[in-house]
Amino acid sequence: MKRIIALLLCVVSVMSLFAACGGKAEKTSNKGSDGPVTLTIGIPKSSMVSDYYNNYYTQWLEEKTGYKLEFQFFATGAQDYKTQLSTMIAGNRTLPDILLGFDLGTDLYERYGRDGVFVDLAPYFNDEEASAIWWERFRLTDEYSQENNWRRMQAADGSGAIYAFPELQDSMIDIMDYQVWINQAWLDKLGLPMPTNPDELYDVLVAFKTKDPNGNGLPDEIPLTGTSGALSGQTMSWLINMFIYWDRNIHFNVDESGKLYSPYRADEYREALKYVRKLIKEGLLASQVLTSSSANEMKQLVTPAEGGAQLAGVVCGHLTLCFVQDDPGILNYEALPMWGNCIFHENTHNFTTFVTRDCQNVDAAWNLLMTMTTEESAVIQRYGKQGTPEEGGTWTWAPEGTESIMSTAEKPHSAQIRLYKDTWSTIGNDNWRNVEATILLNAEGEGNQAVPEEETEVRQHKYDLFNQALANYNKQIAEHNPKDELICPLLVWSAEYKEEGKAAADDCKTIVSRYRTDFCLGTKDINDDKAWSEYLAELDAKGFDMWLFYSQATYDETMAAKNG
Amino acid sequence: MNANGMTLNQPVKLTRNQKFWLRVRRNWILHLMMALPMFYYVLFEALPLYGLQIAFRDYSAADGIFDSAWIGLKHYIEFFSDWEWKNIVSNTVAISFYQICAGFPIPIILALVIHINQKKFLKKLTQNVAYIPHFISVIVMVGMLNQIFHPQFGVLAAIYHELGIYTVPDIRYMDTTFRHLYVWSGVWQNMGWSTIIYVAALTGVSHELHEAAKIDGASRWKRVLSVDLPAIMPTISIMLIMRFGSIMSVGYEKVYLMQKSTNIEVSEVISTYVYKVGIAGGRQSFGTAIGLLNSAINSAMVILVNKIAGWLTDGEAGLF
Repeated sequence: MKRIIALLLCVVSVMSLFAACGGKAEKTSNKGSDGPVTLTIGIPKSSMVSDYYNNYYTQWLEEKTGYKLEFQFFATGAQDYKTQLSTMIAGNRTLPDILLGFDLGTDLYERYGRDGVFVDLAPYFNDEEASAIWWERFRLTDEYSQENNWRRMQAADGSGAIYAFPELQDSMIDIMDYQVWINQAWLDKLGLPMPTNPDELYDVLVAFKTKDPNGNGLPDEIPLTGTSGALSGQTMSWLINMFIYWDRNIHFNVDESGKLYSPYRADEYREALKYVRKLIKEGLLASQVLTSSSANEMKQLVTPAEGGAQLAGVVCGHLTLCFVQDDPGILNYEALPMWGNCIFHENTHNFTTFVTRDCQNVDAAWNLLMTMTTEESAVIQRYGKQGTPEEGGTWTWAPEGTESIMSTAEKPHSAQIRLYKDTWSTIGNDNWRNVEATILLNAEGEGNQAVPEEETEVRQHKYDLFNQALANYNKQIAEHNPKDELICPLLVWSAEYKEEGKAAADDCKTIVSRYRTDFCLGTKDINDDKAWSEYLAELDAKGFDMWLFYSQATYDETMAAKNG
Repeated sequence: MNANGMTLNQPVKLTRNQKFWLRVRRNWILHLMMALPMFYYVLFEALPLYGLQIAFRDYSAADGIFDSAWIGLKHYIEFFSDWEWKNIVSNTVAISFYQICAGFPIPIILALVIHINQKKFLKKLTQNVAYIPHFISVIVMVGMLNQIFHPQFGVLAAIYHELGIYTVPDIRYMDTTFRHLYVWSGVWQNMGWSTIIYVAALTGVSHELHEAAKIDGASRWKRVLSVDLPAIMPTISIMLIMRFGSIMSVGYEKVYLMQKSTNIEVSEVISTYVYKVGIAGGRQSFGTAIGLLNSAINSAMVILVNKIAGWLTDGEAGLF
């Protein structure tokens, strides 16, 4: 008997080895002749969505299209879902019909496109009837970016293929590369005026550090902090732009004669790094601005544990990421005026949606994407069910003339929508949070919501900060920013240029980033001419001229196409 | 004698093949038990080796393993043309060597301490406390490091604050502290678990040797040096040889989690590079090529260190 049991156990154990080994899974997205079309959506799972199946947006889409939607969940982090996808592709596993919210980067999705992993959607975009909804909405996005976006959508090899379905978002608050908030209560306590240039800011930071503005008797103040994450606080971008125009995504500026030049070699850039080094060296700037992308850490400085003192003087970061919702700590802060240069930032345009090789009904996938592109979908995707709370809804269209949260006495503004629930910041099953609407216009964003009927002082102050920052930004753009023609657009290199010069460009970007960190942390001495010369020589050795040459060529071609 | 003229008691001469199957039949349960790991190795370690060929192909998901174009050593040329390759390799070796230097002797010392401890309760307590950190996942481990060394809210910051210092360095992501944090957190986490094999070896040391040493007047310390340590020396040398077999392998998870722009120059190792470029970057061929090179060097290291061990001990130590 024992022998039989031992034998059975061994057989079961061996069989279990094969449990995970399977051939290509059966495709589930076949067009059923006697049932609804089923589409599988691959999506990085958001912890803010409690249920994707029993989800208002899912049900709304199913009702509108008549399709049945299935989900295949991926890890949330970009590097993690890229790994999952890469492994699936290498293992020839069945992919979901549509991938939503996959920020793969141009190189990767073009490679997958060329390898036949993603379907070329150009025929659909070029079919006016099939893509009518998309074109109508696309022409309503901000004009500055339209042409460049259309260019970016096409594969770099000049074949005209479009492997990614774009996600275009116009958002007033997000166009600001950096938003900076200063502790007005501390300024008042120390009798300091609002700083208006780098030197005054330095003096204020020193006072914050040495004069115990939080009054707890300890020198525990963090005069200036922020994070390194995009949108959540491009502190370095803000600090460097006080001295020279620098867009971290573009790397080049344009002079009056149409020639590109690099801020990375400019004396002003060096001055900026000297300034940052001074702040870090004297303990005025938390070095986490170079490393931490955790908004929670920043929030702890603004909103301390019960009984603790506020620790942060100046905070750089998106409003929602610096301040804990409905926390009165925000009342102490005001928007810091902008000075120096101000990044003219395009709106958020991502290429994160793909129809895969395993989709057996591309027409259905396209129809679904078109449904997601409609205005109704854009708003439902962001806010959930239409209707008042009594009707079980979370938002309604605002009547004409309703005051918007960004309305001021000088500049009245009408709201487009009225929100009854913050579906963006709370866990729920109203939308697919991390996968935003395919096209979201400015008018449909939170900035255009009606002033809530029950307003609190904290929330009202948050809107005030929002308006102050936006006004500062607009003023700075209007007064001090280089003209539009002096701003280099995002350059899309051709396949030929990439082949020749991409390695040099990547190497130069690495050198710039490493030296910037070393200079700021003091590993290399920014005040030492020899160290600066070494940096420039290193850039030359890595092919800086080639990077500039192909960037200039691409810029010239882009401008020639723009000017007809 | 029987009718055929053979002596009945004379054993039947079996062929080699027959002997083998006789042994299998006699010990079939043992062989069945062995089948499971054998299946595992064939299925998950041996069979996938055919995929190594993509190291020399330009692998494309559309063409598959067998139809992707051959490109010879292009991936290796690309890797060695990268200006960072020397840095990546030297970082890998430096971290690994540091791990061996710091992490290899400590479990042996701890095992000796546990072994010579006469109090059973204290012995078991020490063992259990030392084993527990091994079960902490890498993610939690790095999270703990981040919390402990946080410059504002960490334990280290609290100590600084007690001393009246409020400008606390962020040692979590400094290039000068990365290797120490990485290695010593690993030592703390794994030293207990690594003692198991040495404690087991020490329990096998003959009591007679200890008795003889006692009669000769050897102290406890002398007995450790002259009896315990020589007794477990073969185990130590085998463990060291095996450890050198992974000198070029530094697991990517912990390094990757601890990596920031501020420490990238010392924290970029082969495994993180392969992960970023090969796996997350969708260049499976390139990743395989570098992985293969890594494994080849590891194998060479095992052979080399085995030879050295054999040479130093006149052939007594050594894995093969």
